[in-house]
Amino acid sequence: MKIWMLKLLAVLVLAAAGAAAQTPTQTPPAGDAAAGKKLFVSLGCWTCHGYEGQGGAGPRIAPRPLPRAAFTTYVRRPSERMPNYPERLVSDAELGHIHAYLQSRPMPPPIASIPLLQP
Amino acid sequence: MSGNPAVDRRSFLKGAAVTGAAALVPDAAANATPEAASQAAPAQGTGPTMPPVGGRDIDPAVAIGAGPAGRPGSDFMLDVLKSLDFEYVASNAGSSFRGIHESIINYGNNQLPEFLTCCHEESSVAMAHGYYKAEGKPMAVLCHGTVGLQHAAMAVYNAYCDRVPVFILAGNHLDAAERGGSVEWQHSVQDAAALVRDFVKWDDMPVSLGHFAESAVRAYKIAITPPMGPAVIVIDGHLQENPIAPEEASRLRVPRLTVATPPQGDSGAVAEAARLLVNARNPVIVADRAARTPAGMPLLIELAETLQASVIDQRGRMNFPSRHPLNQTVSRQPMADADVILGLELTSFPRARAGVRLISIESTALYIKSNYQDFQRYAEVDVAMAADAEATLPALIDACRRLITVDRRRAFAERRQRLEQAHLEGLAAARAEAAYAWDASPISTARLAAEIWAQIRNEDWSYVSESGNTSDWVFRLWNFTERYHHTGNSSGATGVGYGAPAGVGGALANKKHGRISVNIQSDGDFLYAPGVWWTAAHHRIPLLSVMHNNRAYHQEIMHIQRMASWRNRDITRAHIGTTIENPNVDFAKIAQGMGVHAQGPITNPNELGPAIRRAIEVVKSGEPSLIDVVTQPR
Repeated sequence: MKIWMLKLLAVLVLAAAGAAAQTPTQTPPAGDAAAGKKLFVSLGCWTCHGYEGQGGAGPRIAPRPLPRAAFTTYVRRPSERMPNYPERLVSDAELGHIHAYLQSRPMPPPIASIPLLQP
Repeated sequence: MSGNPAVDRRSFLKGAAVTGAAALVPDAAANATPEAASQAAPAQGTGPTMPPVGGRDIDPAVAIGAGPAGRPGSDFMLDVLKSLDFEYVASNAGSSFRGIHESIINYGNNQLPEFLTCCHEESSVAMAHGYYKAEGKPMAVLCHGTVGLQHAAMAVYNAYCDRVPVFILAGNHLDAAERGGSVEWQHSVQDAAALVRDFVKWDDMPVSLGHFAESAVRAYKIAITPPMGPAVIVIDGHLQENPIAPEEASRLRVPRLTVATPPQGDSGAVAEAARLLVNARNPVIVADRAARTPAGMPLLIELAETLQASVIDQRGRMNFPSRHPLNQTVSRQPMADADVILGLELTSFPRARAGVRLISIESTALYIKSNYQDFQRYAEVDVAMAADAEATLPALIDACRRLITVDRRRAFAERRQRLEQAHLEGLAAARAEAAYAWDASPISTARLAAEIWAQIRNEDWSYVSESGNTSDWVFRLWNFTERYHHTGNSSGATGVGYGAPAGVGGALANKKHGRISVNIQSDGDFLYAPGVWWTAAHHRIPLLSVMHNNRAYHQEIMHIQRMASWRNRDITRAHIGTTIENPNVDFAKIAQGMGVHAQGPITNPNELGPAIRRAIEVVKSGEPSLIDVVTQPR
């Protein structure tokens, strides 16, 4: 099995474990996208993922990030070259804000509507 | 040859022998201003004088005194340079080579080579580096053997790592008994080239004009023989300035340059490589500095199509068309399933699974040094050819063709179909990915690349430099088909400061071809030696520079973030020492101050296309133009 598949599998297992640990009553409240934007910048997430989460040195993570639980799990225990962000640096609630910010990013316009991206 | 009838070297030598002590250059005192003449008068025949207190250099009128009786040595040096067909010599003026400087502009009439006024020696060498990569022949550089070579050192290392020939002439006054004021001492050194010897291919310090002639031609030949690299010839100041003695003139001659043919891979190794490639299930060709001449890209296409093999272009040179169906560089997916990898002039061999058979053809195996570690990790290859890749390709293609059976041909056709499909899917995926953050501000690097492409795609263009990282959008969206479409990746040593001067050098080479040279210019690189923009304006070098201004040494932010994370410390302070803001640099204003047409900072993506159109009009008129664009980090 390829290394990247193993890593992906590990992420999914961790995410599933995180999700399983939460009962329906523990569903985190929806985050505040405006607060998330500030955190996204101050924590330096933008450096690898771009200000819009569109990707760059790191992968694209917006406007459809991993589900909230998987997102939190990954940020706490990232693979590859991403630095880990422990709870003392960013709380689960703050990650929720960042998650909301990423979800709030607009979907890209249809390719057909962008003349510059035609073959 | 010179191409200048006024400067025929054989006539010169004949004249020198006949005229002996007759003055060649006009009497300096006759042309001097009254002020200079009055300063010069007391010094004549009185030997060295004290330099002015606090002055950076001695007054040339005082130090030189009366003109030499006879033709100066530097005129002959210039004849030798003319025989090597240099178009340009890039230099920041310096007294240790004032002799040859004067010969270039007066004896040589500032033609072939033409003197390029540079503001920093790093710019001179990087311009020569970029020029070579566009033109395919070396540029000469003049610098002080001491302070100039120290400034030049980083760019020399870049050229060395990128296997690019740069012909460096370093001034020096070796004979202490004949040195002038204090600065001439500070600007003299026992062994000038020692400073860069670890990362030049060859150097010498000639002690006579005959020695200079032989060593200059030898240095040129060594520099352009694969693996190529910079060479340094130290030119003694007294040798430049003193008149040629009649008895010496009669012996002087310019040696004929014979270019060495690059080595071709051993026939047995070629046959074994062909056997592995033809029988491979999924062969991958990885090319870095493979296409050395215009013949290189067609040969690589021929090999790839003979085998219907994937090509991964590491882009050290313009190796392979970006939209050729076998080009799998963007996805790199075939690497995961490769069973045979052919590496052509690679900087480093890609990591491969156990059992994958590796073939290497690289001229760097013929010449390597120990101190600087650019040679990378040792690769355990199965077939190692110490040979020039381009020179070996014809034999390898023939050997492969001889082995291809009907069955293999059928398998190749199926593979071609798969790769073609993967290539098309890769292009479509890239376009879809580019649409994300399309309207964002700061402007996305995908939008930046797409906006430039829209304006140049119907022009004759050349991508001469990229500093910083724009997530490969240029290569994902532009259609590279010609050798001159790309001069090769940023630099050999990946040091910041190469982009702007290399772009100017590349644009200079493209000028006579009427091409629109394009440079994506990062902010950090811009600030290293920004005087090169003045050089571009002064010499009317048409270059379109579009900035990737992310207001940071962005790579370094990420390094510090990872370091802080690894040490379980504060990751939010990674901006300290890594960003270029507060205040934001007004790059357009700096460029304007250097005489370059400039626009920006542009933050609205909808303003970018019109700005590029305006800039291209300026470039078409023969001038450089710069657009400052505030961009996403990558």
